[in-house]
Amino acid sequence: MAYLIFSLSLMLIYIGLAQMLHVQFGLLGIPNFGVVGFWGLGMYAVGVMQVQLGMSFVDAMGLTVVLLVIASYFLGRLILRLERQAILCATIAFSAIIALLAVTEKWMTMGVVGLGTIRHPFRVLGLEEILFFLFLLALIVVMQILILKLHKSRLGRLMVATRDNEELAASLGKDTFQVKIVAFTLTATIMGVLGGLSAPLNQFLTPNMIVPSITFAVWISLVLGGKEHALGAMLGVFVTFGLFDILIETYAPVSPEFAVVVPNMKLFFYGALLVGVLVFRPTGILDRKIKPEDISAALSRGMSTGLAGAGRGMQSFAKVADEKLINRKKEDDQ
Amino acid sequence: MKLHMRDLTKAYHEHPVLNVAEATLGMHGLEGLIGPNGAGKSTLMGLLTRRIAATTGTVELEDGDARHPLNPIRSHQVANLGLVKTNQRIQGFESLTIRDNLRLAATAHANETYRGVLDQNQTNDAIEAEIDDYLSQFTFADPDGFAKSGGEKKLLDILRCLIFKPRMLLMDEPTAGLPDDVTAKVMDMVRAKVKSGEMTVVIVEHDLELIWNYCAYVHFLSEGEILFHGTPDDVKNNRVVAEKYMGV
Repeated sequence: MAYLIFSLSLMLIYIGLAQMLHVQFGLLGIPNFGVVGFWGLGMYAVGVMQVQLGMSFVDAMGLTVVLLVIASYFLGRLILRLERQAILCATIAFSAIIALLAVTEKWMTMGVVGLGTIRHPFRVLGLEEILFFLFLLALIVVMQILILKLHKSRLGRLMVATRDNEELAASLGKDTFQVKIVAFTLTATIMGVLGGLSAPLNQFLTPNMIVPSITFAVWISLVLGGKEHALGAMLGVFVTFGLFDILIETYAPVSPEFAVVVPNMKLFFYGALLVGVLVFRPTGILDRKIKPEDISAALSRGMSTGLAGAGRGMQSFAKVADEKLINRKKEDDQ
Repeated sequence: MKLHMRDLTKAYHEHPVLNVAEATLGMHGLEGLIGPNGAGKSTLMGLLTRRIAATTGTVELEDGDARHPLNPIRSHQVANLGLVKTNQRIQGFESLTIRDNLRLAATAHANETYRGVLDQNQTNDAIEAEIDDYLSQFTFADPDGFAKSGGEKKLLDILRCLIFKPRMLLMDEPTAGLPDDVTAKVMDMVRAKVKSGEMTVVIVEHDLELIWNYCAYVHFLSEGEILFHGTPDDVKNNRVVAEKYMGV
């Protein structure tokens, strides 16, 4: 049970990271390949302040937010005027620097020896983990609601316009650089906050946690789910981390002789799924033309089919979504 | 609104493409800017809207009694002073519908805030009425969908600029890619807006008939310099223009 709560909490962290990447890349076109850098910076900052300086979790998090705002604002100022390829390289470099500093600055991070123990913020005996999970859940739900609202707002429309053609948007009086830097600072800071929240989850921090595979996992989830769709991040993490890491790896009844190959099979399926989606649905499972209303309509239709439950629901969802998409395509073609 | 240029030059890798000692655009309402290919017309347009940085010289926007130097400011600030340009090459926001394109242009940047995210409000009645008005005058295959053909995209580019309500509009080859009847409709609308004093307009165009028909004053640009300016009749009868451009 504790393990399930830990896994689900971690999944929520991934959803949050993918949501922020959706705003950065899906809406604004900023290819941030340094997700793990912001996450790692937040995680280590909270860890160092708690363990080395003896600060409370709330104080450490507050100071970490200040640090993250400064770091992401200055990084943004440096790179957001550049070409997309340059932003990609610069953000990878940023995450590499953070990973390296975690190893080398031993006086602060304890280096490869590791830093611990980070205490849970909710000190209710026996309920720490579940309370923390519920807190994360609330945070992710709030962020999801805000993203859905952002999609329907003037600012969201401007973000999409900036992604499509920044120069044209500027020629219509839009301060596109300001839009990008404010959104980047905000979302990168939240990535760091999610890192800070991962610190008590992991309890013991080592530099080998800050690996590029976290960045890639978040990217794969977002691309799979639908990078331009408000719900793409969430769905993407469900079908990758949720399906493979939690459901199959932990709960599928696999005989011991095959258990060894499961982690490798997981990577294989990740890859196969990604290739399949990119071939048949290049914009991700949730194309941007599928509206969230369509999804809720499809889901409620799915629910009402009753006994068949989840299976039928998914089918009808896929069908309705596809119909909508085909109809829209037909309308577009006309 | 008027645009004053002084000692304006642009060179790429020390190779000069534009050299305007002194000129003023926008004194006569609807003006034309003509010249052979490679004369520097589009470069001049880019310099005036700060899309391209000048090598030397100054550009000033005169608005009533105020004079705004454009050199120190960025392209979105130029637009917010009221100076906007339509594009020669097709430009657009592919993910936005025709209506959203127009809503984006009609919405003041000051209203595109984080606070507004909570309201989920993308438009208002005044903007919708204006959009309906434009879409009733210009036909798109799917007015509630996306702009499809090159012509529709070009038209949308011009409508985006018009709904922005500029005080001065630069039009870079508006007829390229537009059907003749649409061009005439656009130009009639532009002329009406100039007459009512809403804006001044400068048109860069190769279609000389259009220039003679609509423009009150014409500037002739060749090899990076403004060689002649005057009324359409003066320009038509000018020997330099005839030699360098009309191939007589």
